[in-house]
Amino acid sequence: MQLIRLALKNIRGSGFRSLAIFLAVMSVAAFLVSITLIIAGAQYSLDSGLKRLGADILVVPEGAETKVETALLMGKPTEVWMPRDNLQKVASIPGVEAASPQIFLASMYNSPCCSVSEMFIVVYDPATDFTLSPWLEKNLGRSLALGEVIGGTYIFVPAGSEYVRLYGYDMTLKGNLESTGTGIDQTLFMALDTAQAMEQVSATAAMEEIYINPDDISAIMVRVAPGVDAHRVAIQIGKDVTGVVPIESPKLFGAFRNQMNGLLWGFFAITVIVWAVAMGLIGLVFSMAANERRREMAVLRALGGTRNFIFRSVLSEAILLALSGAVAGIAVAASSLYLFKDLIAGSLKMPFLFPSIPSFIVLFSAIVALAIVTVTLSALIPALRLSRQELAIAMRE
Amino acid sequence: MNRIFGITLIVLALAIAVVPQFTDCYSQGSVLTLASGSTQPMKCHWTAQAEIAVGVPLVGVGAMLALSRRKGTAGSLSIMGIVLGAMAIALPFSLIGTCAAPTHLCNTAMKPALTALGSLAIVASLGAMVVARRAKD
Amino acid sequence: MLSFHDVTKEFRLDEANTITPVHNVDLKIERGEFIVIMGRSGTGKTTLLNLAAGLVRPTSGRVMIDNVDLAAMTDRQISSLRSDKIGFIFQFPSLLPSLTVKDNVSLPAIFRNGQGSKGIDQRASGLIGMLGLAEKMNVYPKQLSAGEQKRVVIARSLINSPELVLADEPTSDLDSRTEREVMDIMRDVNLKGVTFLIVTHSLDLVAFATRAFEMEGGSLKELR
Repeated sequence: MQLIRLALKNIRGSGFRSLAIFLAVMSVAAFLVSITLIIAGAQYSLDSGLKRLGADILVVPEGAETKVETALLMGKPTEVWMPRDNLQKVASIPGVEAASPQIFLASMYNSPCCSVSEMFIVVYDPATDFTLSPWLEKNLGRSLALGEVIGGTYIFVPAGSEYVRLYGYDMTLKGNLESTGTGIDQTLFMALDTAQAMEQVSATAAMEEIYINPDDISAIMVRVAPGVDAHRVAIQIGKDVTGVVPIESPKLFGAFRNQMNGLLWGFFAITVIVWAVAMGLIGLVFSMAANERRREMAVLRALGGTRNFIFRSVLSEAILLALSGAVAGIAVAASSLYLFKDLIAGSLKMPFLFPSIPSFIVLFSAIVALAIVTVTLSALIPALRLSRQELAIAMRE
Repeated sequence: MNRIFGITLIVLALAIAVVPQFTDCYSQGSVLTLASGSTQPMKCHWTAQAEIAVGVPLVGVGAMLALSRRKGTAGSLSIMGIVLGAMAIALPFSLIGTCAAPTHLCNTAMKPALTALGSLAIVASLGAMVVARRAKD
Repeated sequence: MLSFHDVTKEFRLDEANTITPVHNVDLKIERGEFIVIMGRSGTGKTTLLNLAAGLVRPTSGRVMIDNVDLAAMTDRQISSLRSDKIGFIFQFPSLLPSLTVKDNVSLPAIFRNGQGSKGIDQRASGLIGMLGLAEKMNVYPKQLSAGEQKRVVIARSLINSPELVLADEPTSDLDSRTEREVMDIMRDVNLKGVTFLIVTHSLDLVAFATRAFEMEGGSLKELR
């Protein structure tokens, strides 16, 4: 405790030098945690999105992979079509436990209900669905009735109204899904009967009529039987069903992931270099400080301080500065990122979900530990020199 | 120390007053179109206007704190700083509010900025209060 | 208490040049003595004090405290000896700039095992008051005059109730009145049984000495 108190007083006493080291550690820690949080946040968002999707394989029309991925990733609506017959063909493939069709629609531009000008609408078949039904059972205790919808986290009922109106048809918003940071947050989900009712009403009540071809679907959600290799099933689907592309869930958003990884790991590499340079500079500052404090340390030795005490005293100062700088940097960066997460995700045009508390704690601990270790290493040689110096000579200076 | 806290509060106060002017929906050209055809700004604009009424007195608090030498005065000014910082946060969250749409700039930028600035104003004022309590007259 | 047995200390400046500030010194100091060593600058007085505190090791000969050879001690043992038994008054400004007067005076106590901090606080306040600096307890060294800093160093040297005080020009930088007060304090402490070894230019201190020496060319010559 005495050592810490002495270290704190020395830190306060050496004002500018301590502030310089503190700010250096704070800046680099902030930068590192920002980059790591963005990478982790994008990863977490994609994982949450995939979990929400709930399917092992997504079967889409050939050539429509990118459109569908963009719709799911960024909520940019798309309409893609394939024959409804494909459903039966996919369902009959060995290893497929369940297959459920979905129809993709887009709302009209600047729909008043919505947070986004174009809303992605997903129509599901309650009879075969396995992706949304579990959520409905858990949160509503039942499936959706006619005229009822659920939405992603950004879907809301406009002020002054009780309903979400699309194509002239009023629907009741029964709940919002958990945030995923992906386009699912901007998606409205409705059952087939509600979509058909909306289609009917749009003929007379909407500015623009909507048409849903009963013989077409947009995608098929596939759940693979337990113990079956999803990859084999996907290959079989690709062989047996013409005009479709099966996308295995882990490979969904693959193109985006590659692009993102390249960019962000590039930033990460820059951060590592910046960190190394900062630690070098900090080492230099400690070295210069050690030269200035030679006599001071010699006095401490003369008063009864052991070599070990001097060594620990200098390292304590380094550790305290590293700890406080890292904590401050992480606090500033993490709170800024948390507050401005929507702005950042929107500007970077990438999915982002602030990582879970346990992940954040791991990241926090890792960066603090890294700061302490690297700053301590920077101070190691100056500390050793001061503890082992020739006392009489140091006192003569 | 009071000078540092005072100048910090002045900077924060100016930011509280100015930042919302560029981050409300009105500044982005978004307005409400009424049934009659006329337009009016959305509620985030009125929040931005109200923040001027928070920022201006906070500038005064900061200036007086920077020049203050008395422990008692600094303590009272700190309390005012805390209250104004809390107001800056309360305006977009409850007193007036912002747009319902989560992706509007007023929600992605203005609200978090005011949260951060208001919080910093509270922290700076608390710091000044602690220093005033410890100092001798 | 403290003894030098044929002690020589050489410092090698470079390949060709060596200086010998202490040359064949034999000196035995009994407990309770007030020893004053005079001499011009560069005659080895400070080196002699450093040898006594174990801050440097002799090139030849032995320095012993309570019949224990300092050269045979480990770093931990010597450090413990310095904190428990020796008070040091340096010639140069030796206060730590980042600590207040009170913290500087209390500093040696952190190296001493088994002493409660409450006791040290009171003792430090007492010593600071005794040296006329009660109102400067919480100021930093840069706010003190040279003389005030020297008085703080003297207070610091006494905080652990040492058995031996090694003082290098303890009354330099002091005005004559303060010099007188400090000498009185040192004499009072000496009368309580604390041994003093002082190097100085000041003839006034010789009057207090049980024995006085002159150092010249690294060797000691008793004055009376």
